[in-house]
Amino acid sequence: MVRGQTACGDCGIIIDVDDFDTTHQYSCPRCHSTFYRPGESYDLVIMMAITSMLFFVPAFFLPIMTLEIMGQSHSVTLFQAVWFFVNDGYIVIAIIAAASGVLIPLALLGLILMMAIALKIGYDPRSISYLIRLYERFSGWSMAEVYLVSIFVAMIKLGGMAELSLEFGLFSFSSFLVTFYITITWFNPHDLWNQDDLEN
Amino acid sequence: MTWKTDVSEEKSLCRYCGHVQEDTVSECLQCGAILHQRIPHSIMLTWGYALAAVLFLIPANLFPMMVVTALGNDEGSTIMEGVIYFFKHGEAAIGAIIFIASVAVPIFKLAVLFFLLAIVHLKRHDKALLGTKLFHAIHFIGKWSMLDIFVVALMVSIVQFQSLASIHTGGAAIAFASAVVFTIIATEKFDPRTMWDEIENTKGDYQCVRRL
Repeated sequence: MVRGQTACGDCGIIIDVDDFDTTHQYSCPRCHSTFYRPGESYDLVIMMAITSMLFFVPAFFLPIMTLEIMGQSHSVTLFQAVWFFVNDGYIVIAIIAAASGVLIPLALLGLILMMAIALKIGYDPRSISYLIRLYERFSGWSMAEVYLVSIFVAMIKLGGMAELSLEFGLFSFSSFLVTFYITITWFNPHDLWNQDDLEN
Repeated sequence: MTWKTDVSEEKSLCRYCGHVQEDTVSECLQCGAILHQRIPHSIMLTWGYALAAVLFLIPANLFPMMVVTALGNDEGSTIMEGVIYFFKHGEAAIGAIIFIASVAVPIFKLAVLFFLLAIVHLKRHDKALLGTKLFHAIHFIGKWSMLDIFVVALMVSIVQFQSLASIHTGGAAIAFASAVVFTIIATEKFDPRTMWDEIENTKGDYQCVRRL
């Protein structure tokens, strides 16, 4: 971003940024939108992304809850909840729910890791710019936090008809969500082009 | 006060890397992305997706969201019936969350989108600041309308006790999902810079659309 001139993406005015300090947040003087938000160093981003990936494995494959209805006990994993639809016909709803709730957040983490590691081992940012475009394309569609709240709402709805108990997978999913949000807040794709910041 | 804008200075901003260059360049010099000074056909596409979302909201509110089969009885419930169920059973907080997420937010989002389109068409630059703030707001809250879809998707996959109880999606689920997805696409296609443009943007989209 240290280039002398930038433009506000929300109202289009040209802003001169001569003494640009990448550790501060900048807002547009005309429309008050944030046009630069500082990110953390890529070492921290990589560490947090790996932590988040590690939480994802138990969140996806361990049961999130067990419910008991008239003597029958049944535990549910997120993997089953996603996979069930493939066998049972509600394809469109299933794809939307599984993709935006679980798979896109995972894909975003993967993209962040690929970009940050590629830059660390000395790739030219230009050669990975298609990853940035993919990241920007997908980032509006990650809805993991809505998915978590929907698990709680589904539990309260089911509470009327069955006995429920929380399982470890739900705590892993919550931890995945927290670390995922820390990762995407720390990661600023525009910093890829800012060589000063890479040396930190 | 007059501002230097990308239109008046004949520059365009790359939305992927933030590089500013002459608007005659078609691919970003820094990252290679395809450049547009404004999102192409922004206004027309926003109108299209927003109107499609309005149409899909009608069946979404009339048909049942999910059908619960318990001990042989089928019972369907629409979005509003689900909200009323929670209020009657003393779970007012959950009822309020579902009401806000699946009734208030979609309607608010569409109302804001039409307001933004009105700002662009009527050239009300005095409302552009308010419009930009509302635009950020609907970007932020938009995804929460998916809450009810996720609840249905989870319930269907969780409750499958063949003879005792099972849950199926109703007709409204797919209509509501389409309405929400179309609203999100409409928001992504809307370019807030069109609200601020003082002069007709000849390299932008909506003039080209009219010329067609």
